[in-house]
Amino acid sequence: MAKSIATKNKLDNAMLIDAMPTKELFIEMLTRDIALIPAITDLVDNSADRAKRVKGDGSLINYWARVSVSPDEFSISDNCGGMTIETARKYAFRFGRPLGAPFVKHSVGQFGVGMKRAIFKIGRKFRVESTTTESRFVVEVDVDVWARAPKWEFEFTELDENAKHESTETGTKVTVTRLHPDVADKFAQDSFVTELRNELQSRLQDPISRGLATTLNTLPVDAEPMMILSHPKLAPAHKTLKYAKTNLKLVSVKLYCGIGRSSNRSEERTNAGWHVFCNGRLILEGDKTDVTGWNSDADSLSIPGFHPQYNNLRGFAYFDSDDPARLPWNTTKTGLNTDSPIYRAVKLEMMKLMRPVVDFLNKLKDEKQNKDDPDEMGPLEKLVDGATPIALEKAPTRPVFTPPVTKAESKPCEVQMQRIQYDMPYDKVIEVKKALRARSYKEVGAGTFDYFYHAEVK
Amino acid sequence: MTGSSFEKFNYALRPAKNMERKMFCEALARLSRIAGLATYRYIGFGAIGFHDFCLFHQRLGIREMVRIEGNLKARNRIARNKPYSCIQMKWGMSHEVLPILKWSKRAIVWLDYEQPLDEKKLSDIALVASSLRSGSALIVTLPADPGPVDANLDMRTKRLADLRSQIGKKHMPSDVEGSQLAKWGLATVLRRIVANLIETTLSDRSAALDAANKFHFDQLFHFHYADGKQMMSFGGLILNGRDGTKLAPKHFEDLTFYRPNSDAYLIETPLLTWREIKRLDEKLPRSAPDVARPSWIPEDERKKYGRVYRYFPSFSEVEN
Repeated sequence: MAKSIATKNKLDNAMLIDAMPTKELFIEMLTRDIALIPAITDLVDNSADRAKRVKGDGSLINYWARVSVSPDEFSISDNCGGMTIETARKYAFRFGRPLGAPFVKHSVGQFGVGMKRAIFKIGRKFRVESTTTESRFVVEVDVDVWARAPKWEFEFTELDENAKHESTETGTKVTVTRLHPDVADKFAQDSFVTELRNELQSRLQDPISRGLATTLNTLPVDAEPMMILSHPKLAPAHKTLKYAKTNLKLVSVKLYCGIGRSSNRSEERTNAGWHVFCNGRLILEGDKTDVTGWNSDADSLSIPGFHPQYNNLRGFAYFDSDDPARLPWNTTKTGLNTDSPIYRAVKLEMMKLMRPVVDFLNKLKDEKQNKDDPDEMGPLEKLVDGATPIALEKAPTRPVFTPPVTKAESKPCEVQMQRIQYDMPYDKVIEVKKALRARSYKEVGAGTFDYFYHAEVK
Repeated sequence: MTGSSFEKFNYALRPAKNMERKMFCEALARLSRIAGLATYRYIGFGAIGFHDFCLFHQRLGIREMVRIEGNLKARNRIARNKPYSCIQMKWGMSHEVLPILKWSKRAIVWLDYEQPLDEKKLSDIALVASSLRSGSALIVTLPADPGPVDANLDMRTKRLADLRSQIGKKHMPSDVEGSQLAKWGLATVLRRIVANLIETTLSDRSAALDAANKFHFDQLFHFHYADGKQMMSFGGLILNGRDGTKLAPKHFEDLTFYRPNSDAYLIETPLLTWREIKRLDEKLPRSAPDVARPSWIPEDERKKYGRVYRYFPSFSEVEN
């Protein structure tokens, strides 16, 4: 019997065609679709997720994550509890998340590719060292050697399954050396380090503001809270949505839309639009595209395309779930899966919230354009200018943004008005101005129009 | 808005419109299977006479009413014509006002437009469809007049181009041809555009919901009528699965004007004298729908009357 099975296997093997993926293909595919900065951000996400595993939704004070980049070496170390041997064996080094793998509540890691992808993106040699209160391991891999070997396995370089470590000693350190030449180039540039710092600051706002002390090349990365203008007449709209489904974890969504003001002109455009977060991780920063409803051909609620007059619009969407698979993000966490049923429903709500804000900013633009004295602010402009930016979570909100009615506007508009603009030779205009005894060019225009109207029309 | 149509017509004297209102009212009274009508809100535009507000307050007992009015020029006059204290005026165009309304109550919303469909109106419709809670009704009335024929132009091309430029390419069904836009054709296409929009909006809105909570639209009305210009009214209920079992299409099938699809109900106004009406009434409803007698009244008028007599307005005061 046993013999016949063996013969059969042999026969079958002769009929088989090898479809085993090569490791180089994997490395190539995994790293092609992610940029360097998001890859590094993924590693910090992992540190934060490990801290969340210990602390749940609470404060992350006393935890730290330290990123260091140089042309020779990349490293990230943390004191976030470490990885157990079981996690390392079964999940952390697997390509893709196996079915049934446990989730950290409210985690950012979801797809089971982040760490490997980041490592491969950065260089060809790595070392992962992790210590928990009960174990310690080291995995050291030369990717070139590993890629040539047929087996899909890594080996522990050091393994201690029965150690006792103080909780202060626990943590994980990932070091990558033999950097790709282009990565080494980038790591040498000041501008890259600045960009990385800014990205970490905005993308990891949630864990950092909860206490995760994050540094880049030993300098702290501070959280920058989301700001919105606070004024009773400009209170941002706020809506909470909950998506429950039988046997699935709840997804809750918090939306805010209102008016903001940037402290400097260069940030004005970046800050405008929608900021979308999934489990605290910033996925879209200041989005102004059809992904968040601007100028969308496919959507029924007509929101215009983004234009600088909407620089004051601030939208914030926070998606949260204990099961990260329910969130509408893509694997690189740099974009949204717009086909996700939850996102389709939420986008409609986002557009409904932004509609009155867009209307208000259109009115603000009209007011600025139509004022007689360019140096004097109109009532809406004054309102925006006089309001103070405060942190979003502290701002009083309303169910819908209700555009303030100003005195000038509340005067019943007797007739529909049409603005006329034209250029005439300066000398002639001055002559007409004198003849009309007009004090401004506006009066020149209105006076000549009235004259013609009474003489020729009525 | 320049010059509302109330300044051109007396709405009370537009018989088809008058009958349409009563038909809406009769059908919408059945919303009580879902919730008492006193808990509903009515949102409408209305004319100077507030006819729809009066009817829905008197017949349905709705006590919370919002009138959106964009004719700021006639603000004072309109406000002084407000017949009941429960009507709240919201001044501004519908596309400005609708986004800032609260939608927590079930509502009957009638977007009774006097101007042709355009992107702003489509946006209104989508906003309302995405905001109404289950058990609410949405009615859209639109001018659907194909306009005068210009012998120098190919009307098929012109009508198609006009419609496309009004509503935008994304809303235009790809298979519509210019030849379909004559007579009541424009009305039929407009119904389809509005129905598609409501369906897409509800599909997005329901995407993440369980089957029992998903929203659908049960069409009740598709009216064509012309008191002067041709008009189209389209309406129905926004329901989730649970409310859909309480109030289903079968609960409306007895209504002669109930239209759940692209077939329209043409509201025709019979031309009859007061005396003729009295004579016909004596024979109704027994002689309906043919109304064979009296033979001295033209058959056509008798039949038209037989179909609408319960809704036909009696304007005794305008009789000479």
